[in-house]
Amino acid sequence: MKFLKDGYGRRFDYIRISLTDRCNLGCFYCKKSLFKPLPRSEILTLEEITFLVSVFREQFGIQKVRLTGGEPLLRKEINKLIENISGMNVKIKITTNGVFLDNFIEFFKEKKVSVNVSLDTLNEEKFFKISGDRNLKKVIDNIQRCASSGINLKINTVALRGINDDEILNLINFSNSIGTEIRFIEFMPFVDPETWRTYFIPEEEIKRKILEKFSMRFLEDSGTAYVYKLDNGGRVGFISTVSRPFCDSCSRLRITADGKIVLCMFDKVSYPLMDFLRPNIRESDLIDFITKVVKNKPRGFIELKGEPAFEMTRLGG
Amino acid sequence: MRVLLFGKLKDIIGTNSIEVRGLKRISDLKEFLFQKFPELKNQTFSISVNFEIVLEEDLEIKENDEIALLPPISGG
Amino acid sequence: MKGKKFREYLVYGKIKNSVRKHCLNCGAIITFEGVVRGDKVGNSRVKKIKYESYEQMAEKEIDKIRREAIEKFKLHDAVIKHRIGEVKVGETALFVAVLSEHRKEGFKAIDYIVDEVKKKVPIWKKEILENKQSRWKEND
Repeated sequence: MKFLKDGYGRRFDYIRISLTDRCNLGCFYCKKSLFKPLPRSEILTLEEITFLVSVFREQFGIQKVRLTGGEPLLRKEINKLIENISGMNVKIKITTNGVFLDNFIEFFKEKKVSVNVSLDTLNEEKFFKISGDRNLKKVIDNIQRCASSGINLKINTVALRGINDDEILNLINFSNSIGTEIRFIEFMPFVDPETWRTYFIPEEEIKRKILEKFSMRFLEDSGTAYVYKLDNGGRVGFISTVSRPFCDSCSRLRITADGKIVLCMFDKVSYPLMDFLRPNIRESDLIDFITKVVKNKPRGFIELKGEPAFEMTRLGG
Repeated sequence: MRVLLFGKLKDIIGTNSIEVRGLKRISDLKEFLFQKFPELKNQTFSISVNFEIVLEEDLEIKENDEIALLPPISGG
Repeated sequence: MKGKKFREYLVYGKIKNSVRKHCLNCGAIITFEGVVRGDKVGNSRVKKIKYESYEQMAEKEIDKIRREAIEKFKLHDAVIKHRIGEVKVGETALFVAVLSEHRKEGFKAIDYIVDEVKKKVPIWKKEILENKQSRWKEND
């Protein structure tokens, strides 16, 4: 087994696979409405996803798999998929908007799936304004249930000026109250520059708001998030692609719902894998291809700055 | 948009197709490909868009266009 | 003629005969076969050639060349077939047949068609040598 390394010597140990481009929410910063849903035939089958995970695990020693989307819980037979990969000795993680989480809590607990739930606000009207949906209460409920079940749970909040910047302390209190870590994600320039400037809040400003109430002690750099401990014992993290790009330690490789490898969210090129899966699986060609293609991973946001080329709907965050 | 690769170019880049986004003209595409795959700079190839060879560098390309990089033909 | 060779001739016979028409003015059927040569390369030889094509565009171009040849040389019919994939030394890779009134324009048409195929049709050949090495070839 050979570990995968890119041209800059960064090792890959983490793949993020989008299970679907469909989502039950329509968060304005995801621009779902702009993209036509992929035809079913173009989406990776469960078998194909299972196969890809096994290749990355057996051939390349990948340690973590994150299931994303769209909304991954919308994928039919996701339980079956997780059953398949749970025997492969990889850490399984999932990012979800939480609306359907109640159906999966027991299963995720059993299969040791770590869960990140996206929660941008505690206010129903704002939730509707952001996502076009009225299920906030259910999401909060599910988050609480998930937390009590003992699942490894984290909350992800995209910081949006004029929308949830006045809720930072409330969100922290909420996550503290259920014993989970909350991470504030800087709004990434996935949208046009004007929209981005309207909503972007830098990490420094978020920190300043927090420091009005709490004191923070740096705990660790998880690779993506800088995590702090608050004086009340709570944990707060910051994922700051813009202020503090973490490209140099990036170990991620993404696979879109339609089977393309994306090496960096800000790259303009993706590499289709379908030819190695259909009509027949060509495993050794696939392995050669992956080994070769990862060398093309760009340095990252720090180098490519500007509007990322990929739609979040097919890529997951 | 899909960019198909043939012959020697396929061997160089490692696959017979890649997907690119956010490029408006042929000249942008060329610049992007040369920057991403520097070995391409030493290769001769022509570019086809939707099965027709194109010569104008500032031809606009659209999301659904099928683009191909064609090395010098050697059939027959 | 045995086995595979016989089958090949059957196919080529069919192709050739496809241009034969009930035609009062047709005096000549001329065919050409482009055969794979076992060229010397370094201290080895070509064993077979792998032809790769941009299929959709190749079909389009071949069709264009056929129509152009028919018009230019006043042919009654023409057929152009190129094998894709592996073709061994001695086997036919390109097959052209034309049906014309007289042989003069028929021969010219064949020449034209082969030239055009070599210039315009997106097909590429990779020489695979006896010593297992391979290289992409370029037309002159």
